[in-house]
Amino acid sequence: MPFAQQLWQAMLRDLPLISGPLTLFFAATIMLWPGDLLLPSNKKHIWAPITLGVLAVSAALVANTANGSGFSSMFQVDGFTRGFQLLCTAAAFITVVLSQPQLNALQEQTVEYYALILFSLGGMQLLVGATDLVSVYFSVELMALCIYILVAYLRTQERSIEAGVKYFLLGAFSSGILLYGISLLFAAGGGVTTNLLQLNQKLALATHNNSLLVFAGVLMVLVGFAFKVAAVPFHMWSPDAYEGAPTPITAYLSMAPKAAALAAFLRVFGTGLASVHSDWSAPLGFIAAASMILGNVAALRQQSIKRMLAYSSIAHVGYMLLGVLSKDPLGGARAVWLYLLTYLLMQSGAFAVIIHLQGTGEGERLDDFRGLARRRPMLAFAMMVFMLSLAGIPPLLGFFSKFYLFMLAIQQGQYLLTTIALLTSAVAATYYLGVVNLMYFKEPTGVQLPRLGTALALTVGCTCGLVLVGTCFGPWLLDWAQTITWF
Amino acid sequence: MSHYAPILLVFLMASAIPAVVWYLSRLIRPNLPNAIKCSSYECGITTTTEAREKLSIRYYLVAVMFLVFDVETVFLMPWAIQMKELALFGLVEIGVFLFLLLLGYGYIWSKGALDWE
Repeated sequence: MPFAQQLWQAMLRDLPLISGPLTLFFAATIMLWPGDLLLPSNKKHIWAPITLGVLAVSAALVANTANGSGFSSMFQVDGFTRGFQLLCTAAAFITVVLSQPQLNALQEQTVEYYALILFSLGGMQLLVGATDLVSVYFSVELMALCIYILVAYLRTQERSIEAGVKYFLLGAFSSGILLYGISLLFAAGGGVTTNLLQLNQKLALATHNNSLLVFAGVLMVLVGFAFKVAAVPFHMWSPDAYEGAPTPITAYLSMAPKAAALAAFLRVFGTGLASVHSDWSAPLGFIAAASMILGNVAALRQQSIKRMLAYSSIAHVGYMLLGVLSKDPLGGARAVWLYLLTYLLMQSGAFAVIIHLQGTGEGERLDDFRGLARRRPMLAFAMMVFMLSLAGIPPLLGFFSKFYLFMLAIQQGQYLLTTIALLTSAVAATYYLGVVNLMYFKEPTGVQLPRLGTALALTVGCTCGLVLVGTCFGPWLLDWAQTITWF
Repeated sequence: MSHYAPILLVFLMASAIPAVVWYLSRLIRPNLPNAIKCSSYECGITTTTEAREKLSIRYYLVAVMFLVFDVETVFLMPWAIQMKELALFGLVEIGVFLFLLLLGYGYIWSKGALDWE
C-alpha cells in the first residue's frame, strides 16, 4: 500500500525532529495518568527526580537532533532551535531544583506542578523551532496556558490567584491581538501562506499595494510579542504576576518563557518580516527605549525584591530588543542567546538566595537583606556577585554579554538607542548596589536563618562560580554562540 | 476593498436604527419613575438575593468533561465527512487523537470528577 508507506516515511522523517518535546509530552501525560494513581499520597516528592530525569533525556535528545525541516515546513531544527531549546530546558531544570524547599514546606507536592512545567517547556521547545505563523501561535498558547496555571498554583493564597487571573486575562487579550495581526499579514501576503520565508517574499511584493494592511499586521504582531516578553508599554502584568507567583515560578517566568518568546521574536521578525524592516524598526526602537528607561527607573522605588527583579527584567528585555532590531538578524540572535545564557545564570542564582531567605513563602521585602553579610557571609557574597553581574560590572559575566550586545548595536549604527542603554545601565547600578548596601552596611534584623539546603547550596555555588570566572572563557562562549545558525 | 462596502452599509444601518429609536422614544415618552419600575425585573418573582452566588465546583468539572467530548465531536465531524478521501492516514490520525483524549478523560476520572457525592 503506497499510502501507508508514505505515511510511514513521513513519520520517520518528521517525528525525530520533535523528539525532545515529544518526550516531554509523553512523560507528562503518563505522569498525570495513570502514574499519579499508582503512587501513594505521601510519596509525591518522588516526581521531582523523575521530572529532572525526563528533562535530562529531553535535553540529550534536543542536543542530538539533526538539522531538518518538517510538518509541511511548520517546524525546523537548526543551530538556533537547538541553542534556545537547551536554554529553556536548563531553565526548567533549575526551576524544579529551586521548587523543592518551598513545595516541601507548604506540603504542595503534586504531580500537576511537574506535569505543567513539562507541558509548558514542550510548548517552548516547539515555539523556538516554529517557522510558520500558525505553529508560532499554537506553541505560544501551549506555553502560556500552562504558565497561567503555574502562577496561580498556590491556590489558597489570594495573591497567587490574583496574579494568575491578571496574567491570564492580559495574556488572552494579547494572544487575540497577535492572532489578528497574523490574519492581517496572511491577507496582505495574498492569502496563500503563513510560512515565514514565503510570507517574507510575498510581503516584499505587497508593500506597494497594501502598505496600510501590512503595517497594521506588523504592528499587531509586534504588540502581541511585546506582551509576551513584557516590554513597555505592554508590561503591566509582569510585576504583579512576578510578585504573586510562587517564587520558583517567578524565576521560571523570568528565564524560560522570556527566552522562548524572544527566540520567536527573533525568528518571526528576522526571517518572516525582514523585507518590511522599515515598518517595524521605529516602533520596536521606541518599545526598546521605553523598556530600558521605565524598567530601570521604576525598579528604583520598589520595596519588594521580586517586584524589583520584575522591573529589572523588563529593562533587560529592552537591552535584548537591541539584538532583535539588528539588521543582521543572525548576529542579533547570537548576541541575544549569549545574553540570555548569562542572564539565566544570574537570575537562577539570585532567586536561589531569595528562596532561601523566604523560607515558607513570606518575607520577600528588600529589608530582609539587611545585614545578611554578618548572618551569612557566603550567601551575601554570592548575592553581591549576582547583583553586580546583573548591573553589568566588569569582569563579571554579565558585563561580557552586555558588552557583546551593545557592541553589535553600535556596529549597526544604533547610536541613540545604545546611548540610552548605557545611561540606563548606570541607573540600574543604583538599585542593584542598593541591595549590596543593605547586605553589607546595615544592621541585621536578628532573624535566625536555617542552614542552606543541598540543592540550593549547589545552585548558588555553581552559578556564582560560573558568573565569577565565566569571562575567562569568553572565546569559548563566542565560539559557542557561533553555533546559533538558521537556514 | 470596494466589495466590502455593503458590509459597511449594513453596519451603519444596524447602528443607526437602535440609536434613532432610542432617542426618538426618549423625546416623546412620559417620564414617571417609581420603585417597582426601577427594579431589575419589573414582573415575576420578587428578587431575594444577588445573582452572584458561589457555584459548586462540580459544575466546573462537568464543564471540563463536556469540553473533552465536545472537542472530540468537533474533530470527528469533518473527519467523518472526508473519511474516504483521507483513507488510512485519516484513520490513524483520528485514532491518535482519540487515544490522547482518552488519557485526558482518564486523568479527570482519576481525580474524582465522576463522584457526585
